[in-house]
Amino acid sequence: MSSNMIMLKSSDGASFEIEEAAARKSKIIANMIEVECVDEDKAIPLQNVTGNILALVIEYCNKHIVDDDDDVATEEASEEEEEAKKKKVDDWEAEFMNSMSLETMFELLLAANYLNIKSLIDLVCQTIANNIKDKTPEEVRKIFSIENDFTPEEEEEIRKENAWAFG
Amino acid sequence: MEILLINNDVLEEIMLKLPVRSLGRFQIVSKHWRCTIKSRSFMERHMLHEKTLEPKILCLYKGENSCDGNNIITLTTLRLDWSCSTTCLAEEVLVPLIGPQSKEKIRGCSSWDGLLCIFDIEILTTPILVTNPATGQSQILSLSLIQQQYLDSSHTKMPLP
Repeated sequence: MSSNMIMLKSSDGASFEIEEAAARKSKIIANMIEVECVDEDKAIPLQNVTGNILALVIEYCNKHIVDDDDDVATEEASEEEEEAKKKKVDDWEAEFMNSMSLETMFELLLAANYLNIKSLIDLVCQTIANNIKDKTPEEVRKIFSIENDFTPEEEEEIRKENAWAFG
Repeated sequence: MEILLINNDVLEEIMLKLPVRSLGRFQIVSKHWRCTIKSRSFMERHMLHEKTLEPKILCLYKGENSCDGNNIITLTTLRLDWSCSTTCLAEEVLVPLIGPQSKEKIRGCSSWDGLLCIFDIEILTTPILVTNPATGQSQILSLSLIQQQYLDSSHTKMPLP
């Protein structure tokens, strides 16, 4: 398999080599490749992504490049094979997210958003949502560094209105 | 934890993936959160997203042990869980209690915009209960005109409409 390699450079100056097919998971980078503003021996600078986060992004892209290629060839694959493969990806994603702190998740989410990788945005958002769904509003404020701008009276009012959600 | 500036687009993506119950609670996080959650466009997007998930199963059953002797109807939302090996396990999402309807033969009737109507098929003058399984809220409707008339005339043995 001969595929083009592309260089990416993080905001803190780390360089990463990645297959073009994997890099294309990012719409931004795919666009850059389309309009041929990627110089073969020059790294693409990504100002908003640090090296440790970019490493995670690349790990994700590398894992998912294969699946997309397979989409074309899966017609003869049986349903079980399909399912087994999906399960494998799901397991990998669960493992991938499992070891991450909430803080890293947010950074990864911002990077995925900046690079426009829809499936990674979805994955991280879902993981964050699962993480916070049972938390109290106070805990959520803390996580998102949000200041409560309701008066105690207003808060009480909304609490009453949504009493069903607090039970 | 250091302050992270999450932009609104991304925040909304996270909110989209939250269950309705959490969204109800998180309205008091801040004015901005409340505005976003209550906005029509967000609600529509959330509804569409929920439809892409595994279908939920509604279970309606009567409770047996109630302290005041009345039966209690319990509504449970189950969702198939495919993540555990190949067997599909049902995961309990929500168990609200609805009451105080206490008659024998209860039927559920679906459903406009996800509301569920629960009524008694034998004793037609039992008040009808309307419930929203997503939030667990329920309300007993006052008797309809036809029920009222039937009740008023039940002594004079008026035939059922």
